[in-house]
Formats: sequence, C-alpha cells, structure tokens
Amino acid sequence: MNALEAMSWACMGLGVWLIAVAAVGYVRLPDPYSRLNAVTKASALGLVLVLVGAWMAEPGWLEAVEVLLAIWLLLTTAPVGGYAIGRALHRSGVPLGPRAGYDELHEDRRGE
Amino acid sequence: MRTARGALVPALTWPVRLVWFALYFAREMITANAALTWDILTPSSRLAPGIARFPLRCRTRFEIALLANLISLTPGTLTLAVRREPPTLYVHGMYAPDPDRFRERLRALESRMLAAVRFHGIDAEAAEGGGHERA
Repeated sequence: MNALEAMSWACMGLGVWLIAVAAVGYVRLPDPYSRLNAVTKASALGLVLVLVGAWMAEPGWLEAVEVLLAIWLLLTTAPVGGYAIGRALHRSGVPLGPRAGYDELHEDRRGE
Repeated sequence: MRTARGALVPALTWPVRLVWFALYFAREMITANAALTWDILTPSSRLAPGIARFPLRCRTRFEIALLANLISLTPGTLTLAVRREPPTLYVHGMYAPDPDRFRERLRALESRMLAAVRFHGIDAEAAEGGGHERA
C-alpha cells in the first residue's frame, strides 16, 4: 500500500465519520435549526472528503475535473438548500429552542 | 489614490488574495466543524442559539450571495433571511450567547471576503465603518 492509497483511505474514512457524526447530531441536538446546521455542514464537508478520497484512489486529470465539478456543485447548492429550509422553519414559526437568547429577525418581522 | 500604476498592483495581488482567502476559509470550516463535532459527541453542550441582524458592507448581488453562502457553509452559523434594501443578513448562530460579539465574528469574515473578492481590496475607512445606518 503506497502513501496515496493510505491517504485515500484516510480521507474516505474521515468523510464517512463526519457524516455519521452529522447523523448523531441530528438525533441529539435539541432544536430544528441546530439539527439543520449539523446535517447541511458536516455532511457537505464529509462528502467533499469522500470525493477527494475517491480521486486519490483513481488519480488522473479527467477525474480531477470531475471531482472539482462535483465539489463545486456541492458547495454551492448545500448552503442554498439549508437557507431555504431554515427560512421556511422561521416563517412557519418554529421556536429557537431551549437556552435561546434573542431573535432579531422576529423583532424586525413584527415591526412590518 | 488610484493612479494608472495603481491598477498593476491589485492585478498582481488579486489571484494571491483569492487563493489565500480560500485557504483561510477552509481552515475556518475545519476548526468550526471540529468544535461542532465535539459538542455533538460529548454529553455536555455549550449550545446558546440566537438570530442576529447583520448589516452588510457588501453591495453587489454577487457579494451578498457569496457571503450568505459562506456563512451557511460554516458549521454553527446559518443564514436565515436576506434583505436587499438596506443589505442585511439574518444569521442563526448555535454558539452565540451575545449578539454583538456574534456580529463581530461575522464582520471579520466579511472584511476578509471583501478584501479578497474586490479587485482593489477594501480601504481602511470601509473596513472600520459599521455597515450601513439602520433605517
């Protein structure tokens, strides 16, 4: 097993681990906003790591273009999806959960 | 201030600034992810959520969209609403007990982003200004 192969396994392992942590976070975190946070971010970074790991297993120029395209699409769409869901949550009046300090969006909405 | 010679320097530093910002953001993303992972996996939780109003110095649609996406990509922070007039984001933070300190953190990211994305960078006056006045 050469160094690149080892790094490939390390990247994929770390990526899968991050996605697993996101799943645990989805169960453990107390409110919908925090859960959304865990799922969109940790899984996006986890998938990027898995993609990079897959590229290291089969390195090449064409594959590099494919992987970069996939990463670019992932990093531009994941936050937009998170934003849409988060916005919908707030609009339908989901509370911030325990220990929440302030909600300035709610304040500004009420003033309109 | 911006002479003919003045266009050469930003043209040379621009690509470097962009790459440097990408590296900075990658590091931010990894450290924030580690913090979030720790919080999920350990029994105690530092969770203190809030939604803060964040007046922007970004002006173009591209800058606003990019900043909103970068905030949403950072673990622990999530853009919930965007307002165009005046440019404002409403950001949900998972570890933000104090709204003003949370805004400061976001402002640091915004400054770095604008300095990298804008061709001429940002001057000191714009960097120190507190965004737009609240209407």
